[in-house]
Amino acid sequence: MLKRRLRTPLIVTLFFALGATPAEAQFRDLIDRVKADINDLKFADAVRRGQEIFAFTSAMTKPQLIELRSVMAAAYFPDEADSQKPDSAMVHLQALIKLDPEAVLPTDVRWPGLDSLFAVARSQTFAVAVKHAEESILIGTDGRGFVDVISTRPAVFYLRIAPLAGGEAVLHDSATATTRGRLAYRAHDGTKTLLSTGEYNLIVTAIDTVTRDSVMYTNKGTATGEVPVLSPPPTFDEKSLKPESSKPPRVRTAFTGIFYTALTFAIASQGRTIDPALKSAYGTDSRATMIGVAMIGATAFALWKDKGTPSRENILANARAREDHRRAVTDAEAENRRRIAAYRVSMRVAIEGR
Amino acid sequence: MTMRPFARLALAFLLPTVAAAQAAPAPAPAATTDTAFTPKRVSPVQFLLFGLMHSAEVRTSNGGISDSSASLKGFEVLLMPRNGGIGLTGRMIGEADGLTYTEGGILIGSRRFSIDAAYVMRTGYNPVTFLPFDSTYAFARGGFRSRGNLGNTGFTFGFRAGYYVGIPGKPANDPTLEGWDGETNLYWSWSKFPLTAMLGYRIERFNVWGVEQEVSALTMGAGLAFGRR
Repeated sequence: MLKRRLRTPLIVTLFFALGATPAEAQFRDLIDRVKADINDLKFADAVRRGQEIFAFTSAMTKPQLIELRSVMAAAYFPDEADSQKPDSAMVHLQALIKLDPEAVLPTDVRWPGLDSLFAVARSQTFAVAVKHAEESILIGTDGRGFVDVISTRPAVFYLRIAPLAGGEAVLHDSATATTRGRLAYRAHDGTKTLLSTGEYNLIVTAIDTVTRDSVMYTNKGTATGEVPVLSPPPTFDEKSLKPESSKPPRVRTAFTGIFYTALTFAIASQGRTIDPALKSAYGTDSRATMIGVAMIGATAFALWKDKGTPSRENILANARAREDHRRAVTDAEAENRRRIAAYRVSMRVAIEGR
Repeated sequence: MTMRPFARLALAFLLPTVAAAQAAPAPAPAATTDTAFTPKRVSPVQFLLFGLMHSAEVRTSNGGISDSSASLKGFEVLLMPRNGGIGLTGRMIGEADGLTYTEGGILIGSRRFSIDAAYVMRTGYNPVTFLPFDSTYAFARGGFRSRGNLGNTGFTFGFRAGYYVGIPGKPANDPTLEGWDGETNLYWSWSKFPLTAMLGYRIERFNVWGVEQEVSALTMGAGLAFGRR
Protein backbone atom coordinates (compact mmCIF):
# COMPACT_ATOMS: atom_id res chain seq x y z
CA MET A 1 0.00 0.00 0.00
CA LEU A 2 1.35 3.37 -1.05
CA LYS A 3 1.96 6.01 1.51
CA ARG A 4 -0.56 8.85 1.54
CA ARG A 5 2.06 11.51 0.79
CA LEU A 6 3.01 9.75 -2.45
CA ARG A 7 -0.49 8.87 -3.57
CA THR A 8 -1.58 12.25 -4.99
CA PRO A 9 1.59 13.06 -6.97
CA LEU A 10 1.44 9.66 -8.51
CA ILE A 11 -2.17 10.11 -9.49
CA VAL A 12 -1.45 13.53 -10.99
CA THR A 13 1.60 12.26 -12.85
CA LEU A 14 -0.48 9.44 -14.19
CA PHE A 15 -3.11 11.89 -15.37
CA PHE A 16 -0.55 13.94 -17.24
CA ALA A 17 1.08 10.85 -18.67
CA LEU A 18 -2.23 9.84 -20.16
CA GLY A 19 -2.88 13.15 -21.87
CA ALA A 20 -1.19 16.42 -22.78
CA THR A 21 -3.34 18.32 -20.29
CA PRO A 22 -5.39 17.19 -17.35
CA ALA A 23 -8.94 16.68 -18.36
CA GLU A 24 -11.59 18.66 -16.55
CA ALA A 25 -12.92 15.49 -14.88
CA GLN A 26 -9.49 14.52 -13.58
CA PHE A 27 -8.85 18.00 -12.21
CA ARG A 28 -12.31 18.01 -10.72
CA ASP A 29 -11.56 14.76 -8.95
CA LEU A 30 -8.36 16.15 -7.43
CA ILE A 31 -10.03 19.36 -6.29
CA ASP A 32 -12.95 17.42 -4.87
CA ARG A 33 -10.51 15.39 -2.76
CA VAL A 34 -9.05 18.62 -1.34
CA LYS A 35 -12.57 19.87 -0.61
CA ALA A 36 -13.41 16.54 1.00
CA ASP A 37 -10.39 16.91 3.29
CA ILE A 38 -11.63 20.37 4.28
CA ASN A 39 -15.12 18.99 4.95
CA ASP A 40 -13.57 16.22 7.03
CA LEU A 41 -11.69 18.92 8.95
CA LYS A 42 -8.42 17.42 7.72
CA PHE A 43 -7.01 20.81 6.91
CA ALA A 44 -3.37 19.75 6.95
CA ASP A 45 -4.15 16.99 4.46
CA ALA A 46 -6.09 19.42 2.29
CA VAL A 47 -3.14 21.85 2.28
CA ARG A 48 -0.68 19.11 1.47
CA ARG A 49 -2.82 17.68 -1.31
CA GLY A 50 -3.38 21.12 -2.80
CA GLN A 51 0.33 21.97 -2.71
CA GLU A 52 1.07 18.79 -4.57
CA ILE A 53 -1.35 19.83 -7.29
CA PHE A 54 0.46 23.19 -7.51
CA ALA A 55 3.48 21.40 -8.90
CA PHE A 56 1.52 21.11 -12.14
CA THR A 57 0.02 24.61 -12.45
CA SER A 58 1.69 25.19 -15.79
CA ALA A 59 -0.60 22.59 -17.30
CA MET A 60 -3.76 24.03 -15.79
CA THR A 61 -6.25 26.41 -17.31
CA LYS A 62 -6.93 29.76 -15.69
CA PRO A 63 -10.33 28.73 -14.23
CA GLN A 64 -8.75 25.61 -12.75
CA LEU A 65 -5.99 27.68 -11.20
CA ILE A 66 -8.53 30.14 -9.79
CA GLU A 67 -10.49 27.32 -8.21
CA LEU A 68 -7.31 25.74 -6.79
CA ARG A 69 -6.30 29.08 -5.21
CA SER A 70 -9.80 29.45 -3.72
CA VAL A 71 -9.73 26.00 -2.23
CA MET A 72 -6.19 26.49 -0.88
CA ALA A 73 -7.27 29.75 0.79
CA ALA A 74 -10.17 27.87 2.37
CA ALA A 75 -7.80 25.12 3.54
CA TYR A 76 -5.50 27.68 5.19
CA PHE A 77 -8.36 29.69 6.71
CA PRO A 78 -11.11 27.30 7.94
CA ASP A 79 -13.65 28.36 10.48
CA GLU A 80 -11.73 26.45 13.19
CA ALA A 81 -9.62 29.08 14.87
CA ASP A 82 -6.80 26.69 15.78
CA SER A 83 -6.24 25.70 12.17
CA GLN A 84 -6.32 29.21 10.67
CA LYS A 85 -3.20 30.51 8.92
CA PRO A 86 -4.39 33.92 7.63
CA ASP A 87 -1.04 34.96 6.10
CA SER A 88 -0.87 31.82 3.98
CA ALA A 89 -4.53 32.19 3.03
CA MET A 90 -3.88 35.84 2.13
CA VAL A 91 -1.11 34.83 -0.30
CA HIS A 92 -3.54 32.60 -2.18
CA LEU A 93 -6.34 35.15 -2.09
CA GLN A 94 -4.08 37.87 -3.50
CA ALA A 95 -2.85 35.52 -6.19
CA LEU A 96 -6.46 34.66 -6.94
CA ILE A 97 -7.37 38.36 -7.28
CA LYS A 98 -4.41 38.94 -9.57
CA LEU A 99 -5.68 36.12 -11.75
CA ASP A 100 -9.17 37.60 -11.86
CA PRO A 101 -10.06 40.90 -10.16
CA GLU A 102 -13.71 39.95 -10.39
CA ALA A 103 -13.27 36.45 -8.96
CA VAL A 104 -15.66 35.21 -6.26
CA LEU A 105 -15.08 32.33 -3.87
CA PRO A 106 -16.90 29.05 -4.61
CA THR A 107 -19.98 28.73 -2.40
CA ASP A 108 -18.93 25.34 -1.02
CA VAL A 109 -15.76 26.70 0.61
CA ARG A 110 -16.74 30.19 1.68
CA TRP A 111 -17.72 31.28 5.16
CA PRO A 112 -18.00 34.85 6.61
CA GLY A 113 -14.50 34.89 7.98
CA LEU A 114 -13.00 33.88 4.66
CA ASP A 115 -15.19 36.44 2.87
CA SER A 116 -13.84 39.18 5.16
CA LEU A 117 -10.26 38.08 4.53
CA PHE A 118 -11.01 38.04 0.80
CA ALA A 119 -12.36 41.62 0.99
CA VAL A 120 -9.17 42.72 2.76
CA ALA A 121 -7.07 40.96 0.13
CA ARG A 122 -9.03 42.68 -2.64
CA SER A 123 -8.50 46.11 -1.09
CA GLN A 124 -4.75 45.53 -0.77
CA THR A 125 -4.15 44.09 -4.22
CA PHE A 126 -3.91 46.05 -7.44
CA ALA A 127 -5.09 43.68 -10.08
CA VAL A 128 -6.32 44.18 -13.60
CA ALA A 129 -8.25 42.06 -16.00
CA VAL A 130 -8.09 42.63 -19.75
CA LYS A 131 -10.73 41.11 -21.96
CA HIS A 132 -10.38 40.99 -25.70
CA ALA A 133 -12.90 39.84 -28.23
CA GLU A 134 -11.55 36.81 -30.01
CA GLU A 135 -12.11 38.45 -33.37
CA SER A 136 -12.95 42.02 -34.29
CA ILE A 137 -13.85 43.27 -37.74
CA LEU A 138 -12.69 46.85 -38.26
CA ILE A 139 -14.16 48.67 -41.25
CA GLY A 140 -13.12 52.13 -42.34
CA THR A 141 -12.20 54.75 -39.79
CA ASP A 142 -15.24 54.15 -37.60
CA GLY A 143 -15.02 50.40 -37.16
CA ARG A 144 -13.44 49.59 -33.83
CA GLY A 145 -12.18 46.66 -31.84
CA PHE A 146 -12.70 46.86 -28.11
CA VAL A 147 -10.74 45.84 -25.05
CA ASP A 148 -12.59 45.78 -21.74
CA VAL A 149 -10.48 46.55 -18.69
CA ILE A 150 -11.34 45.99 -15.04
CA SER A 151 -9.23 46.83 -12.04
CA THR A 152 -9.59 46.47 -8.28
CA ARG A 153 -8.59 50.11 -7.77
CA PRO A 154 -9.03 53.23 -9.93
CA ALA A 155 -6.41 53.23 -12.62
CA VAL A 156 -5.36 54.95 -15.81
CA PHE A 157 -5.35 52.62 -18.82
CA TYR A 158 -3.50 52.85 -22.10
CA LEU A 159 -3.88 50.67 -25.15
CA ARG A 160 -0.90 50.52 -27.47
CA ILE A 161 -0.45 48.30 -30.46
CA ALA A 162 3.01 47.45 -31.74
CA PRO A 163 3.85 45.42 -34.83
CA LEU A 164 5.77 42.28 -33.97
CA ALA A 165 7.95 42.77 -37.02
CA GLY A 166 9.31 45.90 -35.40
CA GLY A 167 8.21 49.45 -35.26
CA GLU A 168 6.87 51.96 -32.85
CA ALA A 169 3.92 51.14 -30.63
CA VAL A 170 0.96 53.33 -31.52
CA LEU A 171 -1.27 54.65 -28.76
CA HIS A 172 -4.86 53.90 -29.75
CA ASP A 173 -6.86 54.80 -26.69
CA SER A 174 -6.73 55.61 -22.99
CA ALA A 175 -9.09 55.78 -20.04
CA THR A 176 -8.57 57.82 -16.90
CA ALA A 177 -9.17 56.97 -13.24
CA THR A 178 -11.67 54.19 -13.53
CA THR A 179 -12.11 50.63 -12.32
CA ARG A 180 -13.98 49.54 -15.41
CA GLY A 181 -13.49 50.82 -18.90
CA ARG A 182 -13.45 50.05 -22.57
CA LEU A 183 -10.52 50.83 -24.81
CA ALA A 184 -10.86 50.91 -28.56
CA TYR A 185 -8.59 50.52 -31.55
CA ARG A 186 -9.12 51.03 -35.23
CA ALA A 187 -7.44 50.11 -38.49
CA HIS A 188 -7.25 53.54 -40.14
CA ASP A 189 -7.42 57.07 -38.79
CA GLY A 190 -8.36 58.66 -42.13
CA THR A 191 -4.83 59.72 -42.81
CA LYS A 192 -2.69 56.69 -42.23
CA THR A 193 -3.09 52.97 -41.89
CA LEU A 194 -2.82 51.86 -38.28
CA LEU A 195 -3.30 48.13 -38.77
CA SER A 196 -2.59 46.02 -41.80
CA THR A 197 -1.88 42.36 -42.39
CA GLY A 198 0.62 41.19 -39.77
CA GLU A 199 1.26 40.16 -36.19
CA TYR A 200 0.84 42.68 -33.41
CA ASN A 201 1.21 42.98 -29.67
CA LEU A 202 -1.83 44.58 -28.07
CA ILE A 203 -0.40 46.13 -24.91
CA VAL A 204 -2.65 47.36 -22.14
CA THR A 205 -0.92 49.30 -19.39
CA ALA A 206 -2.74 50.10 -16.15
CA ILE A 207 -1.38 52.54 -13.60
CA ASP A 208 -2.81 52.66 -10.09
CA THR A 209 -3.83 56.28 -9.55
CA VAL A 210 -2.93 56.13 -5.84
CA THR A 211 0.20 54.01 -5.57
CA ARG A 212 1.40 54.54 -9.16
CA ASP A 213 1.89 50.75 -9.40
CA SER A 214 1.59 49.66 -12.96
CA VAL A 215 0.85 46.41 -14.71
CA MET A 216 1.12 45.60 -18.37
CA TYR A 217 -0.80 42.95 -20.28
CA THR A 218 0.22 41.92 -23.75
CA ASN A 219 -1.87 39.87 -26.10
CA LYS A 220 -0.80 38.78 -29.51
CA GLY A 221 -3.09 39.68 -32.35
CA THR A 222 -3.15 38.75 -35.99
CA ALA A 223 -4.54 41.33 -38.38
CA THR A 224 -5.67 40.53 -41.90
CA GLY A 225 -6.59 43.27 -44.34
CA GLU A 226 -5.54 44.67 -47.67
CA VAL A 227 -4.26 48.20 -47.25
CA PRO A 228 -6.14 50.63 -49.52
CA VAL A 229 -4.09 52.19 -52.27
CA LEU A 230 -4.70 55.94 -52.09
CA SER A 231 -4.43 58.31 -55.03
CA PRO A 232 -1.83 61.04 -54.61
CA PRO A 233 -3.35 64.53 -54.58
CA PRO A 234 -3.21 66.20 -58.02
CA THR A 235 -0.48 68.80 -58.30
CA PHE A 236 -1.00 72.31 -59.57
CA ASP A 237 1.65 74.17 -61.49
CA GLU A 238 1.34 77.88 -60.82
CA LYS A 239 3.65 78.48 -63.77
CA SER A 240 0.95 77.20 -66.11
CA LEU A 241 -1.27 80.16 -65.22
CA LYS A 242 -1.64 82.94 -67.74
CA PRO A 243 -0.64 86.52 -66.90
CA GLU A 244 -3.68 88.23 -65.43
CA SER A 245 -2.68 91.74 -66.49
CA SER A 246 -1.23 93.15 -69.65
CA LYS A 247 2.13 94.87 -69.46
CA PRO A 248 1.69 98.49 -68.44
CA PRO A 249 1.96 100.73 -71.52
CA ARG A 250 4.79 102.86 -70.16
CA VAL A 251 5.83 104.43 -73.44
CA ARG A 252 2.29 105.47 -74.28
CA THR A 253 1.77 106.74 -70.73
CA ALA A 254 4.94 108.81 -70.90
CA PHE A 255 3.98 110.17 -74.32
CA THR A 256 0.46 111.04 -73.15
CA GLY A 257 1.83 112.80 -70.08
CA ILE A 258 4.35 114.80 -72.04
CA PHE A 259 1.85 115.65 -74.78
CA TYR A 260 -0.86 117.01 -72.50
CA THR A 261 1.62 118.80 -70.26
CA ALA A 262 3.07 120.44 -73.35
CA LEU A 263 -0.44 121.41 -74.46
CA THR A 264 -1.00 123.09 -71.09
CA PHE A 265 2.10 125.21 -71.44
CA ALA A 266 1.29 125.84 -75.09
CA ILE A 267 -2.15 127.28 -74.47
CA ALA A 268 -0.83 129.26 -71.51
CA SER A 269 1.80 130.91 -73.68
CA GLN A 270 0.42 130.85 -77.22
CA GLY A 271 -3.31 131.03 -76.50
CA ARG A 272 -3.15 134.39 -74.84
CA THR A 273 -4.36 137.75 -76.00
CA ILE A 274 -3.15 139.30 -79.19
CA ASP A 275 -3.08 142.70 -77.54
CA PRO A 276 0.65 143.48 -77.14
CA ALA A 277 0.01 145.89 -74.25
CA LEU A 278 -2.02 143.31 -72.36
CA LYS A 279 0.46 140.60 -73.18
CA SER A 280 3.44 142.56 -71.96
CA ALA A 281 1.67 143.65 -68.76
CA TYR A 282 1.34 140.09 -67.50
CA GLY A 283 3.92 137.36 -67.67
CA THR A 284 3.55 133.59 -67.62
CA ASP A 285 0.53 132.36 -65.76
CA SER A 286 1.50 130.52 -62.56
CA ARG A 287 -1.78 128.56 -62.73
CA ALA A 288 -0.63 126.85 -65.89
CA THR A 289 2.71 126.05 -64.28
CA MET A 290 0.91 124.51 -61.31
CA ILE A 291 -1.29 122.32 -63.50
CA GLY A 292 1.71 121.35 -65.63
CA VAL A 293 3.56 120.21 -62.53
CA ALA A 294 0.48 118.26 -61.39
CA MET A 295 0.34 116.55 -64.78
CA ILE A 296 3.99 115.63 -64.62
CA GLY A 297 3.41 114.25 -61.12
CA ALA A 298 0.43 112.21 -62.30
CA THR A 299 2.46 110.86 -65.20
CA ALA A 300 5.30 109.87 -62.89
CA PHE A 301 2.82 108.20 -60.55
CA ALA A 302 1.28 106.30 -63.46
CA LEU A 303 4.67 105.12 -64.69
CA TRP A 304 5.50 103.94 -61.17
CA LYS A 305 2.22 102.43 -60.10
CA ASP A 306 0.53 101.15 -63.23
CA LYS A 307 0.24 97.36 -63.04
CA GLY A 308 -1.35 97.00 -66.45
CA THR A 309 -4.89 96.27 -67.49
CA PRO A 310 -6.46 93.12 -66.04
CA SER A 311 -7.13 90.53 -68.71
CA ARG A 312 -10.63 89.26 -68.18
CA GLU A 313 -10.07 86.20 -70.38
CA ASN A 314 -6.88 85.21 -68.60
CA ILE A 315 -8.34 85.82 -65.15
CA LEU A 316 -11.33 83.65 -66.00
CA ALA A 317 -9.09 80.99 -67.56
CA ASN A 318 -6.92 80.94 -64.43
CA ALA A 319 -9.98 80.80 -62.22
CA ARG A 320 -11.24 77.87 -64.26
CA ALA A 321 -7.86 76.15 -63.99
CA ARG A 322 -7.85 76.65 -60.22
CA GLU A 323 -11.43 75.45 -60.00
CA ASP A 324 -10.60 72.36 -62.09
CA HIS A 325 -7.68 71.65 -59.80
CA ARG A 326 -9.78 72.14 -56.70
CA ARG A 327 -12.40 69.79 -58.14
CA ALA A 328 -9.72 67.21 -58.99
CA VAL A 329 -8.40 67.42 -55.44
CA THR A 330 -11.91 67.07 -54.05
CA ASP A 331 -12.59 64.07 -56.29
CA ALA A 332 -9.31 62.42 -55.31
CA GLU A 333 -10.03 63.03 -51.63
CA ALA A 334 -13.55 61.63 -52.01
CA GLU A 335 -12.21 58.54 -53.78
CA ASN A 336 -9.57 58.08 -51.08
CA ARG A 337 -12.19 58.48 -48.38
CA ARG A 338 -14.31 55.88 -50.14
CA ARG A 339 -11.39 53.46 -50.28
CA ILE A 340 -10.56 54.08 -46.64
CA ALA A 341 -14.21 53.62 -45.67
CA ALA A 342 -14.17 50.25 -47.42
CA TYR A 343 -10.93 49.16 -45.74
CA ARG A 344 -11.66 45.99 -43.77
CA VAL A 345 -9.35 44.43 -41.21
CA SER A 346 -9.96 41.31 -39.19
CA MET A 347 -8.08 41.26 -35.86
CA ARG A 348 -7.87 37.92 -34.10
CA VAL A 349 -6.50 38.13 -30.59
CA ALA A 350 -4.92 35.19 -28.83
CA ILE A 351 -6.74 34.95 -25.52
CA GLU A 352 -5.08 33.32 -22.56
CA GLY A 353 -6.96 30.66 -20.66
CA ARG A 354 -9.46 29.63 -23.25
CA MET B 1 -43.65 110.58 -96.35
CA THR B 2 -41.37 113.35 -95.18
CA MET B 3 -39.98 113.81 -91.68
CA ARG B 4 -39.92 117.08 -89.88
CA PRO B 5 -36.45 118.59 -89.39
CA PHE B 6 -36.62 118.18 -85.62
CA ALA B 7 -37.56 114.52 -85.94
CA ARG B 8 -34.69 113.97 -88.34
CA LEU B 9 -32.28 115.62 -85.90
CA ALA B 10 -33.57 113.56 -83.00
CA LEU B 11 -33.24 110.40 -85.04
CA ALA B 12 -29.75 111.34 -86.10
CA PHE B 13 -28.77 111.70 -82.45
CA LEU B 14 -30.61 108.73 -81.08
CA LEU B 15 -29.76 106.11 -83.68
CA PRO B 16 -26.01 105.99 -83.00
CA THR B 17 -26.71 106.00 -79.27
CA VAL B 18 -29.15 103.11 -79.51
CA ALA B 19 -26.87 101.25 -81.91
CA ALA B 20 -23.90 101.75 -79.63
CA ALA B 21 -25.88 100.58 -76.64
CA GLN B 22 -26.89 97.46 -78.55
CA ALA B 23 -23.38 96.88 -79.81
CA ALA B 24 -21.80 97.46 -76.42
CA PRO B 25 -20.35 94.17 -75.22
CA ALA B 26 -22.63 92.74 -72.61
CA PRO B 27 -20.72 91.43 -69.64
CA ALA B 28 -20.08 87.75 -70.26
CA PRO B 29 -21.68 85.51 -67.67
CA ALA B 30 -19.05 84.41 -65.24
CA ALA B 31 -18.55 80.72 -64.67
CA THR B 32 -20.86 79.65 -61.89
CA THR B 33 -17.95 78.51 -59.79
CA ASP B 34 -15.78 81.51 -60.56
CA THR B 35 -15.32 83.83 -57.65
CA ALA B 36 -11.94 85.21 -58.63
CA PHE B 37 -13.18 87.72 -61.15
CA THR B 38 -16.37 89.69 -61.42
CA PRO B 39 -16.49 91.47 -64.74
CA LYS B 40 -17.14 95.17 -64.49
CA ARG B 41 -20.39 96.38 -65.94
CA VAL B 42 -19.53 98.65 -68.79
CA SER B 43 -21.83 101.59 -69.30
CA PRO B 44 -23.03 101.79 -72.91
CA VAL B 45 -22.92 105.57 -72.74
CA GLN B 46 -20.54 108.20 -71.57
CA PHE B 47 -22.15 110.37 -69.00
CA LEU B 48 -20.67 113.15 -66.97
CA LEU B 49 -22.23 115.49 -64.47
CA PHE B 50 -19.76 117.80 -62.83
CA GLY B 51 -19.83 120.64 -60.39
CA LEU B 52 -17.29 123.22 -61.52
CA MET B 53 -15.37 126.04 -59.98
CA HIS B 54 -13.04 128.38 -61.81
CA SER B 55 -10.65 130.56 -59.89
CA ALA B 56 -10.13 133.10 -62.62
CA GLU B 57 -8.19 136.23 -63.32
CA VAL B 58 -9.78 138.62 -65.82
CA ARG B 59 -7.56 141.07 -67.62
CA THR B 60 -9.19 143.69 -69.78
CA SER B 61 -7.61 145.97 -72.32
CA ASN B 62 -9.83 148.99 -72.86
CA GLY B 63 -7.51 151.84 -73.60
CA GLY B 64 -5.90 151.06 -70.25
CA ILE B 65 -5.35 147.70 -68.68
CA SER B 66 -7.33 146.40 -65.75
CA ASP B 67 -7.13 143.21 -63.76
CA SER B 68 -9.74 141.55 -61.55
CA SER B 69 -10.38 138.19 -59.93
CA ALA B 70 -13.47 136.08 -60.30
CA SER B 71 -14.72 132.93 -58.70
CA LEU B 72 -17.02 131.19 -61.13
CA LYS B 73 -19.28 128.33 -60.15
CA GLY B 74 -21.44 126.12 -62.26
CA PHE B 75 -21.81 122.68 -63.75
CA GLU B 76 -21.09 120.71 -66.86
CA VAL B 77 -22.93 117.81 -68.41
CA LEU B 78 -22.07 115.41 -71.22
CA LEU B 79 -23.88 112.48 -72.77
CA MET B 80 -22.52 110.41 -75.63
CA PRO B 81 -22.45 106.77 -76.75
CA ARG B 82 -19.46 105.02 -75.24
CA ASN B 83 -18.26 103.71 -78.55
CA GLY B 84 -18.64 107.02 -80.29
CA GLY B 85 -21.27 108.80 -82.34
CA ILE B 86 -23.11 112.00 -81.64
CA GLY B 87 -23.31 113.41 -78.16
CA LEU B 88 -24.65 116.35 -76.25
CA THR B 89 -22.72 118.68 -74.03
CA GLY B 90 -23.52 121.70 -71.93
CA ARG B 91 -21.82 123.97 -69.47
CA MET B 92 -23.13 126.79 -67.34
CA ILE B 93 -20.76 128.74 -65.13
CA GLY B 94 -20.46 132.24 -63.80
CA GLU B 95 -20.88 134.61 -60.90
CA ALA B 96 -23.54 137.14 -60.03
CA ASP B 97 -23.13 140.48 -61.84
CA GLY B 98 -19.98 139.21 -63.42
CA LEU B 99 -18.74 136.89 -66.07
CA THR B 100 -21.23 134.19 -67.02
CA TYR B 101 -20.75 131.57 -69.68
CA THR B 102 -23.49 129.23 -70.92
CA GLU B 103 -22.82 126.69 -73.61
CA GLY B 104 -24.86 123.95 -75.26
CA GLY B 105 -23.65 121.89 -78.14
CA ILE B 106 -23.08 118.62 -79.84
CA LEU B 107 -20.08 116.36 -80.12
CA ILE B 108 -19.24 114.09 -83.02
CA GLY B 109 -16.56 111.50 -82.52
CA SER B 110 -15.35 109.15 -79.87
CA ARG B 111 -14.11 109.20 -76.30
CA ARG B 112 -10.61 109.87 -77.53
CA PHE B 113 -11.33 112.63 -79.99
CA SER B 114 -14.41 114.56 -81.00
CA ILE B 115 -15.43 117.63 -82.91
CA ASP B 116 -17.25 120.18 -80.85
CA ALA B 117 -19.94 122.65 -82.06
CA ALA B 118 -21.78 124.79 -79.56
CA TYR B 119 -24.05 127.73 -79.10
CA VAL B 120 -22.65 130.01 -76.40
CA MET B 121 -23.97 132.96 -74.44
CA ARG B 122 -21.43 134.98 -72.54
CA THR B 123 -21.44 138.26 -70.72
CA GLY B 124 -18.96 140.82 -71.92
CA TYR B 125 -18.08 144.45 -72.30
CA ASN B 126 -20.91 146.91 -72.82
CA PRO B 127 -19.82 149.84 -75.02
CA VAL B 128 -22.54 152.06 -73.59
CA THR B 129 -22.03 151.51 -69.87
CA PHE B 130 -18.33 150.67 -70.24
CA LEU B 131 -18.84 147.87 -67.76
CA PRO B 132 -16.87 144.66 -68.46
CA PHE B 133 -19.79 142.21 -68.13
CA ASP B 134 -22.89 144.23 -68.76
CA SER B 135 -24.02 142.69 -72.07
CA THR B 136 -24.76 139.15 -73.08
CA TYR B 137 -23.41 138.01 -76.37
CA ALA B 138 -24.43 134.94 -78.31
CA PHE B 139 -21.99 133.29 -80.65
CA ALA B 140 -20.99 129.97 -82.10
CA ARG B 141 -18.07 127.95 -80.90
CA GLY B 142 -16.34 125.33 -82.97
CA GLY B 143 -13.49 123.17 -81.74
CA PHE B 144 -12.37 119.78 -80.67
CA ARG B 145 -11.60 117.85 -77.54
CA SER B 146 -9.42 114.86 -76.79
CA ARG B 147 -8.69 112.53 -73.90
CA GLY B 148 -5.83 110.23 -73.03
CA ASN B 149 -5.58 107.65 -70.24
CA LEU B 150 -2.48 107.29 -68.12
CA GLY B 151 -2.33 103.51 -68.20
CA ASN B 152 -4.69 101.79 -65.80
CA THR B 153 -4.20 104.12 -62.88
CA GLY B 154 -7.41 106.12 -62.93
CA PHE B 155 -5.73 109.28 -64.22
CA THR B 156 -6.89 110.77 -67.51
CA PHE B 157 -5.82 113.90 -69.33
CA GLY B 158 -8.26 116.01 -71.33
CA PHE B 159 -7.86 118.88 -73.71
CA ARG B 160 -10.33 121.10 -75.49
CA ALA B 161 -9.96 124.15 -77.67
CA GLY B 162 -12.38 126.20 -79.71
CA TYR B 163 -12.81 129.32 -81.73
CA TYR B 164 -15.63 131.85 -81.30
CA VAL B 165 -17.54 133.32 -84.21
CA GLY B 166 -20.31 135.88 -83.87
CA ILE B 167 -23.71 134.86 -85.16
CA PRO B 168 -24.98 137.34 -87.74
CA GLY B 169 -28.36 138.93 -87.05
CA LYS B 170 -28.14 138.85 -83.30
CA PRO B 171 -29.09 142.40 -82.29
CA ALA B 172 -26.64 142.91 -79.46
CA ASN B 173 -23.78 141.42 -81.29
CA ASP B 174 -20.72 143.12 -82.47
CA PRO B 175 -19.99 141.91 -86.01
CA THR B 176 -16.31 141.75 -85.10
CA LEU B 177 -16.91 139.46 -82.08
CA GLU B 178 -14.32 136.72 -81.97
CA GLY B 179 -12.19 134.79 -79.55
CA TRP B 180 -10.96 131.39 -78.55
CA ASP B 181 -10.49 129.22 -75.53
CA GLY B 182 -8.36 126.29 -74.54
CA GLU B 183 -8.22 124.12 -71.49
CA THR B 184 -6.37 121.09 -70.22
CA ASN B 185 -7.67 118.92 -67.46
CA LEU B 186 -6.35 116.19 -65.22
CA TYR B 187 -9.08 113.73 -64.17
CA TRP B 188 -8.94 111.09 -61.52
CA SER B 189 -11.64 108.40 -61.40
CA TRP B 190 -12.29 106.14 -58.47
CA SER B 191 -12.44 102.50 -59.55
CA LYS B 192 -15.00 101.47 -56.93
CA PHE B 193 -17.55 104.18 -57.61
CA PRO B 194 -18.18 106.41 -60.66
CA LEU B 195 -16.75 109.41 -58.88
CA THR B 196 -14.38 111.65 -60.76
CA ALA B 197 -12.40 114.69 -59.69
CA MET B 198 -10.84 117.17 -62.04
CA LEU B 199 -8.13 119.83 -61.87
CA GLY B 200 -7.21 121.95 -64.86
CA TYR B 201 -6.22 125.14 -66.54
CA ARG B 202 -8.28 127.28 -68.88
CA ILE B 203 -7.46 130.33 -70.88
CA GLU B 204 -9.88 132.38 -72.95
CA ARG B 205 -9.58 135.36 -75.17
CA PHE B 206 -12.77 137.29 -75.90
CA ASN B 207 -12.87 140.32 -78.16
CA VAL B 208 -15.96 142.47 -78.56
CA TRP B 209 -16.37 146.09 -79.61
CA GLY B 210 -12.59 146.32 -79.80
CA VAL B 211 -12.20 145.49 -76.13
CA GLU B 212 -10.20 142.38 -75.41
CA GLN B 213 -10.62 140.22 -72.30
CA GLU B 214 -8.22 137.52 -71.27
CA VAL B 215 -9.54 135.07 -68.67
CA SER B 216 -7.15 132.52 -67.24
CA ALA B 217 -8.43 130.15 -64.61
CA LEU B 218 -7.54 127.31 -62.39
CA THR B 219 -10.44 124.89 -62.84
CA MET B 220 -11.68 122.37 -60.36
CA GLY B 221 -14.56 119.98 -60.50
CA ALA B 222 -16.02 116.80 -59.14
CA GLY B 223 -18.96 114.64 -60.02
CA LEU B 224 -20.28 111.47 -61.51
CA ALA B 225 -18.82 109.99 -64.64
CA PHE B 226 -19.70 106.72 -66.41
CA GLY B 227 -18.07 105.12 -69.40
CA ARG B 228 -15.43 107.77 -69.77
CA ARG B 229 -12.30 105.68 -69.50
